[in-house]
Amino acid sequence: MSEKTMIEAIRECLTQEMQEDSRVVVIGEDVGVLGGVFRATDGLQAKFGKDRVVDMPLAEGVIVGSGIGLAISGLRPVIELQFLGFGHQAFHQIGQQVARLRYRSQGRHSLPLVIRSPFGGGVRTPELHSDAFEAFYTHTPGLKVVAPATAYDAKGLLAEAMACDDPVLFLEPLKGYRLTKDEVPDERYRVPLGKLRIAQVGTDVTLIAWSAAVNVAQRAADELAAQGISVEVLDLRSLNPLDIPGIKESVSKTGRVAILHEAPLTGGFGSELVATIQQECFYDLQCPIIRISSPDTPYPLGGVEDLYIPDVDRVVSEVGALARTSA
Amino acid sequence: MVVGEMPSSVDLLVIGGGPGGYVAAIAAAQLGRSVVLVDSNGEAGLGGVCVNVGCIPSKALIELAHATHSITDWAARGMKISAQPSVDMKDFQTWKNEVVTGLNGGVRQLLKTAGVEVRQGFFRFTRKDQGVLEFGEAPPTHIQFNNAIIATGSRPTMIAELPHDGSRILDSSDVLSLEVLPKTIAIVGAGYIGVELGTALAQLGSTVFMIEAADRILPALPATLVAPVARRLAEIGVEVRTKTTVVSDDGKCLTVTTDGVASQIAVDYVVVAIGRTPNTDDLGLEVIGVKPNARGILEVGADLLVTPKIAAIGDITPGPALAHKASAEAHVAAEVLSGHAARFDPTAIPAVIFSDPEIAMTGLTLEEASAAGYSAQFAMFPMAASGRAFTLGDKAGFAQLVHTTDGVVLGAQIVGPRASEYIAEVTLAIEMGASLQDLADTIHPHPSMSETLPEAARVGLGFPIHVSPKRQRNNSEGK
Amino acid sequence: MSQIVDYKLADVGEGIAEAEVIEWLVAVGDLVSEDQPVIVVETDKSQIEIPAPVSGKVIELCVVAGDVLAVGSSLMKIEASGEVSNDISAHASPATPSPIAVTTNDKSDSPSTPGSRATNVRPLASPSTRRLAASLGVVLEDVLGSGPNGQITFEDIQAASATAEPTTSPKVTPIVFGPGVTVIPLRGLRRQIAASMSQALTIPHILEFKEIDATALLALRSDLTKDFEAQGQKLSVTPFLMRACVLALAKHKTFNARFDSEAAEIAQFENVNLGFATATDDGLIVPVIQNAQNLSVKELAQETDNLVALAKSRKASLAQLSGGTFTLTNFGSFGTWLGTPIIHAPEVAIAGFGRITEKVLAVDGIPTVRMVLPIVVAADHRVNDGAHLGAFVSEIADLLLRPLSLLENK
Repeated sequence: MSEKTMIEAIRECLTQEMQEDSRVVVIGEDVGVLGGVFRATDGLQAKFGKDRVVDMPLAEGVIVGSGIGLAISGLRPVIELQFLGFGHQAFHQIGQQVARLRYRSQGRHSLPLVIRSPFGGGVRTPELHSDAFEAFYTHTPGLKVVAPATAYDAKGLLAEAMACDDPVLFLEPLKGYRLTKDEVPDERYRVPLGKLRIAQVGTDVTLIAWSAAVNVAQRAADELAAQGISVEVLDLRSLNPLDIPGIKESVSKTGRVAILHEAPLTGGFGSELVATIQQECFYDLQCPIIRISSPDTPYPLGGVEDLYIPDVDRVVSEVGALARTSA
Repeated sequence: MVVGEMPSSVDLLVIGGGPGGYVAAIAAAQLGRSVVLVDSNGEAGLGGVCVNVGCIPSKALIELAHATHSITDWAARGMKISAQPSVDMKDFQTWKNEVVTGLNGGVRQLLKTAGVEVRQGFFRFTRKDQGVLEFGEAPPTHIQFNNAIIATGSRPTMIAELPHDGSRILDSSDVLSLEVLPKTIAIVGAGYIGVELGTALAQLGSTVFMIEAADRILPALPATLVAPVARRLAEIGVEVRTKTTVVSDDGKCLTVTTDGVASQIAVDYVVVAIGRTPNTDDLGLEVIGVKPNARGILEVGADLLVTPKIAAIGDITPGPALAHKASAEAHVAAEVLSGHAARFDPTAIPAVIFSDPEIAMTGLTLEEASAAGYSAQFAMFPMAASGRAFTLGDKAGFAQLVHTTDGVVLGAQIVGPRASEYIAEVTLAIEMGASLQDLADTIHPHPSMSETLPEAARVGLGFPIHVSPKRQRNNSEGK
Repeated sequence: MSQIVDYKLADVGEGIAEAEVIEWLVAVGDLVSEDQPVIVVETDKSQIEIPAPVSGKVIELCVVAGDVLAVGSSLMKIEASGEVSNDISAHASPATPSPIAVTTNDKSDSPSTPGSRATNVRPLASPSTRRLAASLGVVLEDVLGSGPNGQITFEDIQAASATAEPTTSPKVTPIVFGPGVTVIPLRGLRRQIAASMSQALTIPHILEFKEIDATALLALRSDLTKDFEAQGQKLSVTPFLMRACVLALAKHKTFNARFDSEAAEIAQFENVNLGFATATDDGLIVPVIQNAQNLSVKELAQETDNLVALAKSRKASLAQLSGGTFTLTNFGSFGTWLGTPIIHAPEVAIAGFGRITEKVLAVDGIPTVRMVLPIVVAADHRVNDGAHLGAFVSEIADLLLRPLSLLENK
């Protein structure tokens, strides 16, 4: 056990799983010689060879399509999409092919495929590199969507995703790669999909977040605690499958819900959560659910992204107001 | 290639490794914080200007100068030396570097023991909770912090007429690294730094010109304190030009004007010692919504905060630019940012000047006390009545206490040998609200310079032993 | 030789004891010429630009925006460039140098009084005591020291902390600065409204309500509108309401009065100086129609329009904003039914009129839809009782029910 950054935890997971299972291959842009644009696959090609860690051309559709073929053929490919913003180049492959193969083949083929991709902003990247596009993929039946917030979960959930016989989109917080640092066991372990993590126990408000927003939520909760407001922070860990019982348990306790995400408001995954919570917990709610999100605009230039992504001050202000809303 | 700014996370970031920064780092670590300290000079910068190029090297030089100069006086007391003493500045530099390296290494070890990580680079805020650390050609690293303490200190102020070149036109730090003793040197600015350097160089044998725009040396100090120092400077041959400003320098001669009359001074070196400029100009402070005032100072209150999560300490905050003030603020900043109710609220900040004789001050002067609304008086005891001053062969100066009519001690000014060593006693007395009677009734060791304090207290109480009560009255009336 | 003029806030008008600084129009170092506006201040009544008394150079601004100044406070110091006339010298005194420290050798034998000290002198307390005070939130300046020379001890701090706790108000959740929170300092008109409304709450209000059939009133207004508009004058219901109040006050003089609690006196007036509440962008302002009893409905309409325009542009003079004896407020424009008006101290009553809407009334035993005007009057119970108030409200109602009476000879 030692403190590791998220990128170190992911690299360690890939290394250990490749060691354990010779069917695992890693493909993607720059994953080989360079070791990944964020160093997630650093050293893997040297260790496992060019046949198992393959540099692919700048063509996301080709990369995902190749992954489908490899998976059907009995391998367990892990694809790195350099940024989720590039995912639309492979949108057909992911949405209509990857997610539907088991259905279309009447269960004859499963698709043990993991697509890893960093997403979200906060690090002043140029345009097309920062969008939080998770909602496109949660709207795709047949595709699991996982978004860890801690290094521990990144390693455990990635191992679980790689063990899964169905396709998983594994979303990594770009900003959290080096910022997130926590205790990660050196040995292999798995974190089950579809079980949320209570990042902080509280009694007044349930604040739901995933990926990089969990860190913002926790820091806001610390400040709100100083104001006497006890916030329960839920880290969803996976959006599909969604831990509805876990959400119900928290909401029934607090009666007040705020949802925090980096993606724009309209059609964001927060909308899905609001719909689910009002249906499941209607009589536990003491006031309307609020969503704290980016505005409905394209992702802005780096210089103003601090105004775009909800920050701690905004969460403190809005959740503070929610806590004071009369029932 | 890495796209974007990938930050790493730091709990408490200290910017600057001087006597403010490193003390803040250790204090915060003791409070349970996880601390990273950044300094533009990395580990070599630990201790800051003070340890590396300021207080410590200058005191090393001053001790050498004082010993060299006074050794001739010892002949009358029986010490016979066959040759005129001479100074090898190269050997001095070697020794001085050992002193500096030893102290710098000590700080390094203290930080290591406290678990503080030290990183090298120039830090600049890029967001209100993040900044970038840049060093040479290395890729910049981004740091997100929960709290930060800005302790970037100050640098010598230079003037346009004398562009710094490090070979002829020097700043105060350059002088302390000279490997040859200047034959002739002009010191521009007769504040405490200029007076300390000028005295030392003259005692070592340089011909020293001291140039001051005001009408006397040490213009910020009360005139009575400065008189013994001015007399001593004249004795050791320092040529002081007051009401004089620098016009230009042609590489050999310095042109100055005194009351509108121009003259030339041929010197080998020119030292600019007119003051210090706070290092607040290239920190990205606008990003955190902080604007220095016209003098580059960050206005802070007793909590030292510039934002709810960032504190500023040391030379960049209001008050004297002194190492011990920075260290005192460091404790407060570490506590405030760690959720404790602390305030930087000293009653007295001592200041010492290693002139000849030394000057030490704390608390209020008579003028300051009166202006603050106190009904204040002073009580003075001359060094000429101190036995210990006799044995040291240095009877110039006096110890003076400022007090209320009720006898509460408000301040002290000492001119005389070893003044720097016992001014802290009065600072403690002031902070504890002690009275003249408390000082008089506290037994002081004999013979020591500290005895001048209870003696001065007795003067104030009207029952002096070693001077006549009449003398005190005369002094008071003369004031 | 140039002279330093210490320019003080002069008495700006009747009864005004203080003014708030809104903004400086000049800065230190600026050259100003005589009569050039230098500062904007706001009194209870209006904003005033104050001109420079002399030409010269600004050497000090003694106040900042938001300061509330008493008459006679120093505003600024100007180094006069020319001769200073006697007239101004009388107002402005040359700046005195800061007091020179004087030492005394007077050793008084009287024991020092614990805790006594000059106001700006630092409290005597050791560093550890100061630390304790900071951690307990005790302000040293508020503590009387029990130690020698008035020194504050540990025990003093603990005692101060213990006694302070029950009296402190419950901890207010601090305002969180950030997006979604706008913090607005209480300044100018808003501050004055806050102060006068708080003061008004000390008045024991009684209220009486009445609803009347406004059919006749509206018919009359409708008849007159064309004639008025031909003369360029718009006609609302308000001047009729004003006229009704004025006529009713002539019979019920105890409502046309001002109350002075300190002198324990009620001043009744023959003239009606009629205030009417006016909403402006900055907040509520009450212009006053002087001698309203002499004005016809048409003249009231003209005067109202005139004063509203001045009030909204904050140009109304002090005289146009003060000296009221009775106030009228019209809730109708808010689109709500009616409100409970607050008396404009030191007046003793205020009439409020609500929105005229269709309502079902019993007319000759048959439910009939009529235009109905709600009326309310709030009165100071120290001056009038419920019976008086009822009679007064009924008088107003009767006048409005017979609106032709409002057009009778003034």
